Amino acid sequence: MTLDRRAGHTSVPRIRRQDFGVLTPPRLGDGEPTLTVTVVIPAHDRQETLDLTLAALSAQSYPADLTDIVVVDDGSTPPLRLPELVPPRTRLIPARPGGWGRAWAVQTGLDAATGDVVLVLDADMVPHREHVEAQLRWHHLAPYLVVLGWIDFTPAERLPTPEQVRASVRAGTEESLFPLSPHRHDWAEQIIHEHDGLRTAPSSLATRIHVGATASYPAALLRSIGGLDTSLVLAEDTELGYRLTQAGAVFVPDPEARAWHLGLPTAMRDFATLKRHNDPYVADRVPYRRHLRTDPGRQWLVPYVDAYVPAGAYEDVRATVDALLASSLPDIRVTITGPWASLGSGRRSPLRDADLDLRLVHATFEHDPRVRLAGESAWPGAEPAAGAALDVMPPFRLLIPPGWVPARDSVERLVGHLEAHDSGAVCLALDETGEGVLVARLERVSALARAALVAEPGERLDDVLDEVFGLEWLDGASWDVTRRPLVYPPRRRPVPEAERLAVRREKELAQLRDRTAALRAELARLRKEVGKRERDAARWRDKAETWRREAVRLSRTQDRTVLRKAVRRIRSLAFPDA
Amino acid sequence: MIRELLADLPKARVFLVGVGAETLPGGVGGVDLDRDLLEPPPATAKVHEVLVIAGTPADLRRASTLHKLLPEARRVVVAVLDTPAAHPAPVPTPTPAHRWRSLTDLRVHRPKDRVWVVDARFSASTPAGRTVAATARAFAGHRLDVIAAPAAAIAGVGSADWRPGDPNATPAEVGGPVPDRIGAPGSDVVLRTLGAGEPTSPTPAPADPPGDRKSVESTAPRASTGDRKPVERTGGRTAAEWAGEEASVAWTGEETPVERPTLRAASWERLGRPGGAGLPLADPDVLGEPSMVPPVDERLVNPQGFVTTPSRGMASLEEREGRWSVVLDGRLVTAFAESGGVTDADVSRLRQIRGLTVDWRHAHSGPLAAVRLLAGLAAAGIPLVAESVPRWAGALGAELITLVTTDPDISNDLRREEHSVRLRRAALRTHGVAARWEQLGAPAPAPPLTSVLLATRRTDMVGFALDQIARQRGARAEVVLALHGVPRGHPDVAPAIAAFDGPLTVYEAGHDEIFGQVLNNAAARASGSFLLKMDDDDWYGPDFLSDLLLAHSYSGAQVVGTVPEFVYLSSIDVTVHRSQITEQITSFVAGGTILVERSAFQAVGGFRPLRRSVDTQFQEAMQAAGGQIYRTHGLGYILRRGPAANHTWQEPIGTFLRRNRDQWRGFRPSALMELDGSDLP
Repeated sequence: MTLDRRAGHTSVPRIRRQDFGVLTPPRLGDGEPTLTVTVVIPAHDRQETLDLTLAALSAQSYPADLTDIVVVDDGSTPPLRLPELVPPRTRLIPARPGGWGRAWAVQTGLDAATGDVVLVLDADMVPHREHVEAQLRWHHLAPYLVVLGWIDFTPAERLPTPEQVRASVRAGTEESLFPLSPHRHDWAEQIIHEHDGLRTAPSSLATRIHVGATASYPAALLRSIGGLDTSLVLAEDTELGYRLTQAGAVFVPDPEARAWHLGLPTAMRDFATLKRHNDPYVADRVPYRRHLRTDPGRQWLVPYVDAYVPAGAYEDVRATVDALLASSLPDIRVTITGPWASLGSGRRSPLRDADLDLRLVHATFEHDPRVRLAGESAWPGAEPAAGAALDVMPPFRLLIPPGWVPARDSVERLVGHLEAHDSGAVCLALDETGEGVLVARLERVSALARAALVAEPGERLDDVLDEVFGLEWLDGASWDVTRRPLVYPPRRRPVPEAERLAVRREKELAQLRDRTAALRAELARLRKEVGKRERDAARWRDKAETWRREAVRLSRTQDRTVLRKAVRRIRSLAFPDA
Repeated sequence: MIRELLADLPKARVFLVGVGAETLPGGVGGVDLDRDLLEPPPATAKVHEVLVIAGTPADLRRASTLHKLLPEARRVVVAVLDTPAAHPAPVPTPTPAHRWRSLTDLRVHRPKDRVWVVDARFSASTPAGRTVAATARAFAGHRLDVIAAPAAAIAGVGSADWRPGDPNATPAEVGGPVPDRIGAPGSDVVLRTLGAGEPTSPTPAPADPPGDRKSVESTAPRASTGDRKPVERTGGRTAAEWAGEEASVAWTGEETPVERPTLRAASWERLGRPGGAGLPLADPDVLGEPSMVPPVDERLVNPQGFVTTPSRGMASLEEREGRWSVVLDGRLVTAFAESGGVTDADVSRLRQIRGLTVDWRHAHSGPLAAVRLLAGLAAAGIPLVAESVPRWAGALGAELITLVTTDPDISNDLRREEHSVRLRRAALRTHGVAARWEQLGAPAPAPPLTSVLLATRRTDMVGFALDQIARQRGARAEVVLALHGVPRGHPDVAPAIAAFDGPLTVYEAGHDEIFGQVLNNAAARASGSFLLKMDDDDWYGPDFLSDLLLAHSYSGAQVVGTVPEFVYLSSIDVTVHRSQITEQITSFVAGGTILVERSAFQAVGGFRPLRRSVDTQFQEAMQAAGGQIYRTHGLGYILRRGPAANHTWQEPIGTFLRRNRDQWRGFRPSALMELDGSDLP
């Protein structure tokens, strides 16, 4: 959509959608790193592999003075201890009291981390020598990248000693440390492979690639979204990936950030059980997973579409909100913004109240759980709400003026359009007046966040939005967003689509039946006629046969007469006297 | 198909054009109009039946040029084997009527897909060429078959290539002279083609001594037209000299013929022979003149039918089995004639292809055929790219060479179309038939004058609108400024008028006058042979008018215009690029882009006296009268759609947001608008 970048120089590189190809990371060994990194290792009862993880970390190519390690003991029995062979500046801390699990431990580590970048590494990982460097080189290029390591699995039972690991990592012979398992992280690698290293993956797909084990984040970005969801004991990485996407992050899998994973992970050992466990949690929190939300009539923690309607005339607001709630997308939440707090309960003339419409809107939707009545400050401004830790936002946001009614499938089609092109926003031109163009907008929240991340002061956010994700203008009428009917609510219950169709089909059926009957009658008549004609034909045939016979008979008679004459004549000539 | 035709007409005299004689079954003799030398028939030559088989409509036009060489016959069958689907039935019109009185039966039919047959029977022997010329004219939309002066005589093998579709050409024998016409010499200019290896005879004195190029330039200055570069006249050299041999046949006429080598004379085989390197033709400077190559028949080989969003990828233009061919993913799409002549049938097969990459590696065709081929493709707007152009292909002309070697991003539909437009402009202006004959020395006709009708009620737009006209180049224009209820002395208007450098007529119309009438009054004050209605608030590229005139010359339509493919929506500050089908005969062009022949304008009585919809009404009247409207590319025009407050009557903004191919924030003119860096006025 954008021909070229209009402004020449920008301080934060602008990545369009997921396409981090605009960044050129230095080759391994070439960079001049400046960022500090805290490696957070959550561990529960994994002393033996933890020793190897730490041994490998002690021989990293990334400068040791920029690195520190935080091992978080997630309630191990016996408690974990630091082995002899550890990198300098390694701390072991217990998980904060009051919780347990990987998310809890990582959050503890994040709170204790001091680095610019936080690299979370599981305690059953043995990183290659350039593992940290390969990830960190990306963070030097842009402050909103999430970098993922590249994992080989090993089924090894007999593990080498920490000294062997360290020597091998230092020598760069990590390949031969363990036997390689044929198992790989297949589905993730396939997504990466099919999308040019994830560069062409749409947002809703790229977010799935975020699986724990080894990943690094700008600490500020991770803190700004409130860190991990500690209510989860599994699937916390999937959930975190979604919120990172929402914050505008770009996922970069780096095949050069290699690491061994000791043993096969749960996901490979017993996929079905894990999925059965995780699905309810993921379905509730990650609206992009549409296939987990097929049950009709349900509501979830995070809706798919967040619709905003400003308060206005009662009929207008009601028509718009009713239409939104009747949308073919069930997980849509509606927020009506207005000065609700100003509605007093003092004595008033009920029918001549200046705030009558506002009051009626309030009365109409106060008790609908899918509708929120929020103050005017809740109207989404240009800037995304800051510091809203863990206030998980739906992936799409719809702003629509009261009095405009989307058809049942309009919102779903529009979301589909955004998803098909992975674009940032569509503006529907509804009408134009002397004051300007009336617009309904559907926005991708993650695109807004990205635009805010890279915008320069004074730039129009829509211009940046167009640049990083694309902003498209469409015609409201083509997407069936129309002005409300003159009379609203309708006096009679509107006939549902299905019934209307049924009536129409019934009518067609009746017509077809009539026609069939008429054709049958015609057929019978024709048959009868044919029968008559056939009989006629037979009669005439008989008659013809009779006449033919008669003709033959007559001609023979004649022949005989002629013959007789001739005989007579010859006889009289031959025997004249006879 | 040929077999069936021959079976129907077993005794017919057979003529072929664009079809090799080898395609005839054994034992059937045919005359190949492209290769065999034809003598004019004796006055008494009469046969019963004549069968003319042409490959494509473009080939038939060469036969039309040679129509005087065909005998008289009582039955003439013209068959075209490969007609692009876009052509309507080629129904000949029997004009002039008195020459067609002997016509007793005429049948136009399509026995097979792409094959058209015209079958005419006469009560008395009638020149067969007449049916051929009428059929060729029917394929070109019944326009007058005129190539502006001079009247040309042509002689030699393949000389019809130089006057395609010109029944007025006089065929002469290779040695001359040009047969006289009634009361006048047979021609103003003679062109003959000469091959090599024919019997030698004394060389006639060349008009310009071959030698130093500079001396040729200085001794042969000639008037140039418009912004076209002066072209060196090389008519004096003989083809024999090109081929490095003694002239083969002496010219016996009084005229000095312009001589050109036949294709074979300039083949690599000949140039590569021992001593070939010393020949004048081996000199890239000699070969580097466009006038060495037969022109492009732009009436059939032109941008018409260009597809803006092609469905297939890049193909390669390369030589295969001795012929230039287009190969897509290893499969042959089309193979061109050996002569390098591009036909409309070839072009129609290439329309869905994104572009052609020229592969020079096996270019055995000889330089002339290669150049002729590329010129034809460029004129048709086929996007061509090449890493480089060899020196021997210099006859393409500097402009085309630069264009072909620039590396536009053809994967982008818009960049591709811009490239195509530039190619066709350059090719049509350098290699068109009229341009070629001017290069050969024909006097150039005065370029037509276009009168721009500009009616406005808005004083603040007068300056902007006049700027749009002032930037037009490559065409002559005058302005008739109709100030609709606006005094010419208005402080916004007067300086704008004063600043306009060019012929301008001001017409002050009363406030109450009806818009349609205002336009008609303005037209009455115009002196040009074309009228162009422009709007006061739209943007026009600098080649807008010259592109319309170009489209007029190849389409033959009475009205030429374009559609608002680009619209700037000022109320939301967005430029949209809409899906539109262009380069075709159509029923509608935008009101601000109507270019009409003045005679046609008068024939339909001008605009209706209405306050609005005068444009659509005019176009309807034009079509009802049998006129045609042609829509050319839309890259030179941007419609401004202002805020609703200014125009209560305009279309809702949503209309412009439907069927968008692309949209951009802000004002984004295409490259051809040449508005880079300029902001909104």
